[in-house]
Amino acid sequence: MDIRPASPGPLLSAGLLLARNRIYAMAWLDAELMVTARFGDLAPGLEAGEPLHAGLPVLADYEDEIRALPRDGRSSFELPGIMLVDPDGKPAPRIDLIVYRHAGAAGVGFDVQTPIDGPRDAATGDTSEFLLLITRAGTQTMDLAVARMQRDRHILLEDIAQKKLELDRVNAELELCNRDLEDFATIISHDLKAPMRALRYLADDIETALDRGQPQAARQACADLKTQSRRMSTMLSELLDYAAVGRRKESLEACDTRALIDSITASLPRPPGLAIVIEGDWPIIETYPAPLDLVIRNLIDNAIKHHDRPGEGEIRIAATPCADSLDIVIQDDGPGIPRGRQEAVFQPFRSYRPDGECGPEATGELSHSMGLAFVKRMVATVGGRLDLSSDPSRQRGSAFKISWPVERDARLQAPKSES
Amino acid sequence: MATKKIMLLGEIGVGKTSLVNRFVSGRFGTDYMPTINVEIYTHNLPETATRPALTLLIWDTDGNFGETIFSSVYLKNAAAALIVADATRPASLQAMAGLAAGWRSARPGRPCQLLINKVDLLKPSHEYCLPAELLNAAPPPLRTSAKTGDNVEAAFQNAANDILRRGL
Repeated sequence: MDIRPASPGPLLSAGLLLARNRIYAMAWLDAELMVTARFGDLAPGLEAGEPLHAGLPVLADYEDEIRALPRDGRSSFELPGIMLVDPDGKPAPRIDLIVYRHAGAAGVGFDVQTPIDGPRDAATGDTSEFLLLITRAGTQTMDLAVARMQRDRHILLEDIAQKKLELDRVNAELELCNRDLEDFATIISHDLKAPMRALRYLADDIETALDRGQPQAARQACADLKTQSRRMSTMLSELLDYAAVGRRKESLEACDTRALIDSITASLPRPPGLAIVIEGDWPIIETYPAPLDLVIRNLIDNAIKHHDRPGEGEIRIAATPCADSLDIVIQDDGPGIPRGRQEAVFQPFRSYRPDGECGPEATGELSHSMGLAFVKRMVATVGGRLDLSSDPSRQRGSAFKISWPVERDARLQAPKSES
Repeated sequence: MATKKIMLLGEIGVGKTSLVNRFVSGRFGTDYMPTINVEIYTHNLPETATRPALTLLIWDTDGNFGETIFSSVYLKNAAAALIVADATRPASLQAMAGLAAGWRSARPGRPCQLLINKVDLLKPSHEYCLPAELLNAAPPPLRTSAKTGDNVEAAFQNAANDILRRGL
């Protein structure tokens, strides 16, 4: 409720003046809220002899509040900041609606019969009980303009922030694509050249053998040619798989990492004497299980296949839950990887062998040559980190440390594991 | 003819005014002008086989009200609410969840339809994600576009039908 001073004569005179300037309108209402008189341009729908809600349907639901107004001439019922939009979508002026109730005869309210300088029909008879004031809400024009500007700015800033995020994301994707393109150009131009060259040489060998009448040698060269072509086909398939890493939409699921590691170690074939020790805390986390499986599986597989003393070797796999990640270390006591070769082992079609062979032409089993490249790419895709520590000149073995990102709230529980 | 009041609620800039303009006058404007306080549209729905003729008084509210709208005089006697969010702005979906809870508490038993607007701006690969509180909302949110007109008529017609079916 709002308390406003009510001064009859000046109020009505001022009202008339304001109404002529289209910023004020008045209507008198009887006890049934029928319009008994009106003036001013801001109330075009209000007609004498009609109920209030016929001209101002917006007040239709507020009759009880209006009738309950005390007869003190000071209390009011208000609906501020209304804009009525006509059926053509054209807005009328924004208005405030305020209704007062007359005071009793001895009260201090409106004396609507006070002579005023205006049309006689503006005054009402004794039946009038309520005074409806309709004022143009434009008295706050400056505030509204500022409010609009602030809101425009607010929305604009939000849009800019969102567009910037989108731009950053697209830029990151573009950068990744460019790197991929570079990698692919390197692989295509260099690594696939080797088997291509072998094919060409073998074709020459076949030609020479046929010229010399040596069918046995030609047959052998044909067999080698088939092997090389199969090898090239495998390389291309793996290259496509590598390119697809991170492009498939994975879903977040609760993953029991202890069950995952148990299932991986059980499924990987290994020599009888090679021990696998699992230690640390393996929690249940919400993550992408398939990529995590792929990463751990490849690293353990790598440790098994490259171990030079499998009959007595040991692979230790430990997990440590950290604030934002689950750290997993896979450590073997194999030959290790010299520092100078550590970058190369993560590149497609590169692997290291202690006898010094490295590169696509040296790899006997091609499925190994993409393993670490897959792992590195997959860890990068989920926003994790992969580190390799190995220094065969001082100590045997390699340790791959995966920092697999985990949302703090996503970790469901952290049961203690057994060694 | 009975007159029923429908509130349009939602964050700033989600397209409330565009939706009501599309419904009332079949138009879509690209000029953005925020609503200050409330704008009130009157729209007559003709009689149908299942419903008598009805006048809708649509109160298009200022998005700045937020949940304070529920303690304002504007809400008086509102029979239904359409709560709008912008499919491209996750914050507006979260605000929608708050407004839906506020409406249920302030006007229990009154129908409330959630509208996910601006779906025409969604890229196929960027589907919006509903807040957990809205995943089982009944009725489920309607996907609307004030620009193309998708589901706009249906949203208001459903609200009118619900009001009459519940005898509000």
